[in-house]
Amino acid sequence: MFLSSANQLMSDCRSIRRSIVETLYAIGGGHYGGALSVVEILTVLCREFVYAEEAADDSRDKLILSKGHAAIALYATWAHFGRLDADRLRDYGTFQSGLEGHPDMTVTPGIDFSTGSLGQGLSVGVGMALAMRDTGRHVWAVLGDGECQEGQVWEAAVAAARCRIANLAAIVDANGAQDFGFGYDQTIAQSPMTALPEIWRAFGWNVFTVDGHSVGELHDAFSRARSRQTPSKPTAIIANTRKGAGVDLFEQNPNQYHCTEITPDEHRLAMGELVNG
Amino acid sequence: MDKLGYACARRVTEIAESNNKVWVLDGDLATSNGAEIFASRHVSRFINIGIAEQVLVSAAAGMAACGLRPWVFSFGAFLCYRAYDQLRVCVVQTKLPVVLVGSHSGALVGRNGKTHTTLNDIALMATLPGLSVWTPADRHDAKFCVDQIHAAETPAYLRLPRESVPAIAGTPAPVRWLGEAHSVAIISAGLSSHWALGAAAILRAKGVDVGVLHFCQIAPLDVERVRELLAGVDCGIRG
Repeated sequence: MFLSSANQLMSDCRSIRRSIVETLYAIGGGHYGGALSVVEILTVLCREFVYAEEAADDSRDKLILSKGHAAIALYATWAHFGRLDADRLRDYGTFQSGLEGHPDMTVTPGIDFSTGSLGQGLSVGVGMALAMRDTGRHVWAVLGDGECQEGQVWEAAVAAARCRIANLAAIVDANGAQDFGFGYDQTIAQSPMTALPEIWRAFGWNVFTVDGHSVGELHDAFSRARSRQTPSKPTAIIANTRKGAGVDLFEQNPNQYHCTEITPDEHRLAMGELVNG
Repeated sequence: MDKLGYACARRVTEIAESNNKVWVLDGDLATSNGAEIFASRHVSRFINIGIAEQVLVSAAAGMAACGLRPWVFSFGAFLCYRAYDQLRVCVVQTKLPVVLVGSHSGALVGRNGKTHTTLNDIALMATLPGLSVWTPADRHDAKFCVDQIHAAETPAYLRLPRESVPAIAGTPAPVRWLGEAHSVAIISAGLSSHWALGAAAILRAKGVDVGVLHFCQIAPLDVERVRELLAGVDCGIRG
């Protein structure tokens, strides 16, 4: 059951995308691709699940942005929903701003765990879910598909399945690209991971594959994960997304716009799409 | 003679009797590192994460972020080397009270061989800001270390030998003379303090006025206290 309408959430996402692109441009660049691909995931998670009820940080669900380079997407989502003063986005990524380029729990209240060195967030989620297993609270770890190349992700996947941690969900923002990528050699598989749903299933997880830009499909998968219909398994949600989603220039060149600076003309083009799109 | 992993596990188990936030996570070495003591007493607060040190350390940090007090048991080699980035990011940078209990540390690892040694673990661990490093020499030291670490609520590494060790006389402290102060100091820590005691006895029999200054805590160092203890020493490390 939605708290907001799907149309409202989609409108929220458009606004958050504009905020991301404006903030990154103002600071001279950043992780456009992975921040824009995760917008619907974070919007639905934040609005409908993690912060759905007013609760202190130590009595609500936990959210770990394991793909920490998308921090700006989380800050912009917070700002949109009033959890952060929108003016503070202007200081994002600057010295002592309190909004680090990667989430830092020691300087930003509300960040449930610091991330930045890829592959660690799901393991942290294993510990949190164990600590919270009798509380009815859920742990949501948002990973990138490139991040799934890290071995530690699979240490966590094994441990969570074996310990039957049902209050843990891994959401993979499967945007199909990574930083440099493999375009120099077309004989190499171009996607960061092959057969993501099959791998997670083989590791013993309950798996849903959804359109990661469909707020309805995301909401449905998150609801099913949280209801723990499969009580003995953690849930992986493979959210198929487009890197740089919402800006055609970025979507057509996902590696180039993974983390970069853009020109004033490119910025005008991007904002034009996001305002009119 | 005591295995110090067991001595530490025994004390953690005692503390957990009255503190239900204390958990033990093991890297599948509980019958070697002593964690089996805790497992048999507090089964609902013991988890063998498996042979997976990276998730072991990060999961402990996740527990600590939820207010729990996790003690992570394995061998020193696997905690320090296999999970160093997890320690750096999830524990040290967050300042969460995760304790690494590394048994079988140092050079003497019996028939296990060189893969199981930790020859530079102190260098690696002591350079992590905010992480305390402890090197107990006997079961009294081990209990002292566990109590100090539990009270401090900060990240810590307990460096324990594989070998069983006899008890040493005296009251545990972060740094202390084992016995009387002398004008020559052999400075030692952990298991090597037993060898130092033996060497000092031989030298004293030859007329050298020598004693052992034992470090139970290596980092951070109370430099002023070390200066005080070395006040009467005219040979050895000068402050």
